[in-house]
Amino acid sequence: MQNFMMNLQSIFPEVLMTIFGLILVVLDVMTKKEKKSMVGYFGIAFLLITALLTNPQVGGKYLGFNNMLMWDNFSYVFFVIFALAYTLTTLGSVEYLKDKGILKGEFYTIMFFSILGMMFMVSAFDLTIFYVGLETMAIAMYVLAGFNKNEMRSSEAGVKYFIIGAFSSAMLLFGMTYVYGATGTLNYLQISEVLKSGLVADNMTVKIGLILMLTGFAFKISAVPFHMWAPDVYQGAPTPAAGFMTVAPKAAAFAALIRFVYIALEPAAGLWVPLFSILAVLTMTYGNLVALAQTNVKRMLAYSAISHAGYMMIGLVAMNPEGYRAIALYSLIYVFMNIGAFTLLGILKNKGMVEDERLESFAGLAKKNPLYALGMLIFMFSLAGIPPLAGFIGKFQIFMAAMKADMIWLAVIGALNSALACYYYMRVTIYMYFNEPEYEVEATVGRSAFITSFIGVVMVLFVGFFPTAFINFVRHLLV
Amino acid sequence: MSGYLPIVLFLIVAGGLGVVVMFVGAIVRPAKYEKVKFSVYECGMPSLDENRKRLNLRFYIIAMLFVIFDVETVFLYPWAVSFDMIGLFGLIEMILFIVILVFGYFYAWQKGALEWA
Amino acid sequence: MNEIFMNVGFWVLGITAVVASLFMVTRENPVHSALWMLLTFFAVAGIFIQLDAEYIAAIQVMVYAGAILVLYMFVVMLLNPKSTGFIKVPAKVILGSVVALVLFLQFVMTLMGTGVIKSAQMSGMNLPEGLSNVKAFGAVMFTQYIVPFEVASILLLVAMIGAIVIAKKD
Repeated sequence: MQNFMMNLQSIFPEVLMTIFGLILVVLDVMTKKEKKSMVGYFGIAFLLITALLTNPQVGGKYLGFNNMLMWDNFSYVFFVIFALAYTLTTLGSVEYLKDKGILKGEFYTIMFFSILGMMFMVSAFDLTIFYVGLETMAIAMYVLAGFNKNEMRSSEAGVKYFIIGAFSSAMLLFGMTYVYGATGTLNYLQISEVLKSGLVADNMTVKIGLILMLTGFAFKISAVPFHMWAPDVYQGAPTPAAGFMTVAPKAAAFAALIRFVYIALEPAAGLWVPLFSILAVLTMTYGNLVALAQTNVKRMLAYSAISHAGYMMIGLVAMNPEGYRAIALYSLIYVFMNIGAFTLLGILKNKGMVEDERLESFAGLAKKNPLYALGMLIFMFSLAGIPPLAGFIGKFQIFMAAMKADMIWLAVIGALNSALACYYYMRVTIYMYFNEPEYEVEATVGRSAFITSFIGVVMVLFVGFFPTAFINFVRHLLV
Repeated sequence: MSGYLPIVLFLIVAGGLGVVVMFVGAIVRPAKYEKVKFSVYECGMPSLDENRKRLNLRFYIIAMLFVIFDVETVFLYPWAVSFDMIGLFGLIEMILFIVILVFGYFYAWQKGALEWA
Repeated sequence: MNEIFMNVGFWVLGITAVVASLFMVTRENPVHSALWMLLTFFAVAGIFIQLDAEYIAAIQVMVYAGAILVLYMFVVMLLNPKSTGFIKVPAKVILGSVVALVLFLQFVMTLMGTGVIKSAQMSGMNLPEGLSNVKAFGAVMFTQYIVPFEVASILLLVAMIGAIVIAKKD
């Protein structure tokens, strides 16, 4: 009976989310065509209920189903991050979707189920659960990327994401079979024990398995050189979906990776720490350098998303609790600034030009839409990591974790990179404030987009000036 | 493993029979060639355009739904085989599994994915 | 005797699978490709049976040879692609394939060193007493691995909704 209660407690949030998701499917069928945004709003309410009901007390750990599923503070904090990403994306998407003629309930239903998949990824203590969760999330993401079927770019993004995603999943799965073959188990705790005891039949099999698995992970977090899909997918996807995709799946992949490497691969740190250090440096530098050359702001933000994954990887290789706490904080902050930036980007329209998101579209916006320009300015400054905005706090925590782990060189490279990144973020603001408009641009901020960007701006400022509240939120995290 | 021997034998005999019938037929039957026999199709009209036309997109949805329900069947098979070991617990599990999928069926139905007109 | 029989079976099935998959990627007519793929699936299913993995063989036939092949055929007929002969391969693709081949050989050589391939036997899975393959699988799947099993239904639900929303005309 005790066992049964523990099992129930460990899976309760997911069960709740499943029930709510099924209700959303029914709601989507019932609502009228013009009122599909209601589905999204109901989703927000459901997430709020789940977040309120499932908060584990500090230090509360519910590990059930033969040590396969864990609900603890770590899972909860990441659930809150996904829920916030959903909320902001939903609020910001209504006008964009209506404008493009693709306002459908499925957009919200599928996004909701993707969060369910991410929760399983984060709470998994077993590779099978992790894998099914990952696939649930990934399939939802392919659909979101290709959601605007009237547009070639979006369909291309969907297909590209699907092919690369399936390929990387296959790689991950292939690696998992080797790990299973060598250790005889799929459970994180048992893998760790087997690796520690040195009873592994032969070392090379585990190594091949782990390298394949980590490559699969690197695809999912779009680390250079496994990033080729990211710019095209983020650029092609509908703008709100792109905002969601740069934030939530990445946070989920990072959280699952943290769980896996910190628990299962803790004895094999000598293998993955150097690998991820190199990937972190490559990812940061490449993402920033290529972002410099972009003339399309959406594509630039896609490359900037790659470089942000690089910063987060520094926290991963730091190998201390500060590291993953910093990643959680960074993901949280990234939700506000990146989805805010993408929402504002989504409402920019120019008449007759091919691409709405060209850099030239931003010229002279400060005079015409001062509020819009101010919001964009704050998001850009925050993404660049200029103090005292939220982005700075996130980066600072990450670099502190690296310093603490005696990886000063990584922190230095990270800091140099964020100086480099300032250039392309600043360029947008310079266009907005100092350049004369070349052509007519429309940027009417609708009600829902206003709410999203307002929440984003307020939170970015709030975290910047009062970081303690947020640092406290992640302070008790333990893997 | 040796339980598969009859199947292998069956396959060999079936394949061999096909080959034998073909060759024996070719030797035994009379061969009279005429011009008409070499036309594309011996009865009816010569075809006007290509024999393979583009299918309707609806076939794709039907095939996709078929794949999904087929995967469900794949889960049902070991469940049925091991039912005496898992009992009521297994029954509840499978009911949950199917109920979740029924929501998808309901969705497909309501959205008109199964309608043809 | 049994050993020889198994080996002959393996070689027949293996060569069939490789040759059929080569034919599959080199046919100009996509329908012919699909039929060669069918043969590949059956040969692979046979190899699975030799490895005592009957359940996977059943999946191979039911899902791949049954459902997925039908899906492929429908998509082929939906798009109705016209072959214009083989695509001219640019030089960098050839260079890329050479690199890929070298990496693949290296991978295989490493694998040979690990004993994964050496220790692989044609049969001899340790099943609990008195249980068939599928039964043992079901017993583990529906007791220990019930969470992944239930999540699989959510995965299928998402796939279903996604396929309909992407493919349906509105």
